[in-house]
Amino acid sequence: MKVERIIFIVSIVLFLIKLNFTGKIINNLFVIYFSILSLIYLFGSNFILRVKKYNNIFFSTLAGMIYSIVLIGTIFKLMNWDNFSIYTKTGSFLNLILLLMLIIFYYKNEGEKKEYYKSIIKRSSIFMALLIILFFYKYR
Amino acid sequence: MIELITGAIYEALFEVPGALVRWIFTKNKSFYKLLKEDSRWNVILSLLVIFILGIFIYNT
Repeated sequence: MKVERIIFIVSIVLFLIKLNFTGKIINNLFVIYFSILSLIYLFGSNFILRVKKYNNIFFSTLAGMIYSIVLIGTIFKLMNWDNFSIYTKTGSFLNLILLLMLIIFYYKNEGEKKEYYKSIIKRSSIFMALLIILFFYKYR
Repeated sequence: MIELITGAIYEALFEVPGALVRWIFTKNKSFYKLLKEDSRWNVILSLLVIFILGIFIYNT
């Protein structure tokens, strides 16, 4: 999906800027883009993650819910709002389990199913890298 | 089995509220047909319904 890809790239760029600088404009854009992306993943994951006609409803809904938790955790941690550790801890734990499950299913299946699992593994690994960066981040 | 459970949760959370809104404003169409046809509009409308209801319940 095109809209998801554009918002995803913009929000990653904003994340990298927010790591180094703080300011009113950057904070607003960062919060707005990340919350929009989390909403898109929560509600539209079954449309975004499907490859051609194949869709596994269990993995799509689970992945969408986990990604939305991870994205809200990044907002809370980088803005230094209260109780960010709940979101980051649960998000990283669930994302790790999802990644391990997906890697097993990726090597078991073939063809269209393999492409579907690959598309989720891509996004999951990017969010895992984002969480690892957040682990070493300290608010100044 | 696990797909059936998650499918039921997905339908109840993200499709039924939007389909209810569409069912109120359309004539001569069954609820079952509205659930199956154009399911992306169900998702968008249910997002709006959940937002409005959530704000309403939070304020009261």
